Amino acid sequence: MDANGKQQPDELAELFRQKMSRAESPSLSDSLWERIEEDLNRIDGKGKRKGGFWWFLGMEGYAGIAAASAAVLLSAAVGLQLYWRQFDNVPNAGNTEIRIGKNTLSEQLNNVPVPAEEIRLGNETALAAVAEEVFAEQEAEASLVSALADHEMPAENASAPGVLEKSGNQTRKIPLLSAEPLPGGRASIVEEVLYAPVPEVLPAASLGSNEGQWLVLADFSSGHEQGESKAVLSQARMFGNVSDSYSGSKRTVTELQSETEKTSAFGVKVGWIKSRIVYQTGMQYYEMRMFDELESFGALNQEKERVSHSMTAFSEEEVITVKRAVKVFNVPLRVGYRVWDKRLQVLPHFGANLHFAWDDELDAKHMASGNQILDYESDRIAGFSMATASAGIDLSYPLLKFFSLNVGTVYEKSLKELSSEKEFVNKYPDGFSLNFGVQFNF
Amino acid sequence: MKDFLSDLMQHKEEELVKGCIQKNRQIQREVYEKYAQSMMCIARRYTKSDMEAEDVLQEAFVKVFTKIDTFKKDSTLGAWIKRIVINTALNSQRGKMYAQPMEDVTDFNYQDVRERLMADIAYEQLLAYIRELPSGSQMVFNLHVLEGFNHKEIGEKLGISEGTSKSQLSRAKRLLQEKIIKNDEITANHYGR
Repeated sequence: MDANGKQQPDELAELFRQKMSRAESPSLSDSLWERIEEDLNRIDGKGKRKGGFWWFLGMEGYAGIAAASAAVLLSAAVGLQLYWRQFDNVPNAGNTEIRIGKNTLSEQLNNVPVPAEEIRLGNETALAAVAEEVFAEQEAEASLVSALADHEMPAENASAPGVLEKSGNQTRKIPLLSAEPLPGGRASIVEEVLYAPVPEVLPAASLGSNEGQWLVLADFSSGHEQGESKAVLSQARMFGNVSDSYSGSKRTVTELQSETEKTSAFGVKVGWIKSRIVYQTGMQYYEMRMFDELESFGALNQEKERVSHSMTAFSEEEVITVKRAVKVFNVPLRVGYRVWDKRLQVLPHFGANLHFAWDDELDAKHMASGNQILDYESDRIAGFSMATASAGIDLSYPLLKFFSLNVGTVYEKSLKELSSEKEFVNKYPDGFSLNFGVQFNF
Repeated sequence: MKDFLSDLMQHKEEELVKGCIQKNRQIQREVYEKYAQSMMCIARRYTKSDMEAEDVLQEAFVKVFTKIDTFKKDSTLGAWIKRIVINTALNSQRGKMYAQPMEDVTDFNYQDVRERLMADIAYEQLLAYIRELPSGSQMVFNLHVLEGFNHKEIGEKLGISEGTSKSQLSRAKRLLQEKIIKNDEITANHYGR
């Protein structure tokens, strides 16, 4: 019935029918037949070569969270896959072993007995001789008295000077002070060693301001990282008990800071689709620039035993900075399965990533005030491998005949800690990422 | 001559069916090329977007090629494919059919609608109006008005009663007429008519 109460004839339906019969030719996407063919192949149990292979090649880069940067990079290149990644934690402080002085102890130096009675002879010549003997056994060049943390009064720790201590299984040592005769020639302090247990000290202090920062970077799950970590290491005190007096050197590392700069990466990755199963691999290269800075303060004191007298023989402050580029090849290996295979394709995947890296020291500076001329030798990252497990999901939407727009997310879990030449251990951060890019299919 | 052409076409169709049964990819592609455009027109009427229509078409053609051995030659291949496309579209929309809330529909003058429909409403515009209908009304309207099914058949296809089918159709018509009238008013205001 219409507004006037009259019955509407079927004429209206006929009009609609007439209008709708004049259908204009709709456009069909080029990929529709390919999708149908792919479904048919799957049903027939055939793998299909054509259209199953895809590759990605491009320059990749990452920057801060600014959406503008991402947009610029996205529009700048076809075939570019950009990558968002959020790190849950920042990396540990850098892998620099600072060596000040001409000698370094071996990593295994631990619980080396030094005859206490000989040390207590009060004769610096004898003291030096004993120390040299000990170090000769350890294939070190020079001598050492002892290094102990948090012992203020050597006289109250009579057994302590005879033991070289090491903190924990994973120990980071920083020999800090070289041989220096005391004024008056009463004793010879030849070396100080600071043991700083890396796992206990550094991770706890890894509270950089960039924690959880979003990054845009390239390719997948490569382990780029950016962040800062700061650590105030424990202080060590070294002393020799000489007759009725002792001399001691105390050095405090006031700050160790490590920062990883933004980086860029280049990569090639390829994939193979058979039925609904997708295999992906490739290779990605990137450089991770790191900056380590160590600040320390040292003072050499002399005191008369049981007499309230102290004299500072010398003091100095120093700052050591090391800039390095860690070069990394990453090989991802992934398997996925298309759970939704319409125009929009959904691909959950899992896999592993292997990272191979070595470093290249770019620049090192040492600034010291005081009367010390100090050497350093940084630890190297060479040939370490690091594995991560990844799981994620990709959404792919065809854009043109050969291209598709991809959006995905990946969680990467560190399986293996990376280590350096000196076996300093750093925990690689687990990563959660969002990625998007354009993929070329053929 | 007419019989000859008819025989030729039938022969050609038999060749196509045979090739499809043998899973000859070239022949399947030929069938796809022949019918994809017209089937897309149908799929578009039953869906809300072209992307959705392509998904329906993908699923329908896969069914066509996998079920081709069940094709009884009591209709043309085109008509058989059309039935599959419509059924696939109905299945894809089944879950959404009665999800939308009922809207009030105003009455209007039938004569106005007729004139405007006869005048300058383009196919794409009309298609857009049909796609804007609630899914249930859209399906019933298509099946009844454009495909010629009666309400009993529609009820069986959609699993609804005849009465529901009728009310959905009535509702679809009223909504379409309303859209047509509104469109005309907007156009008139725009051009200062």
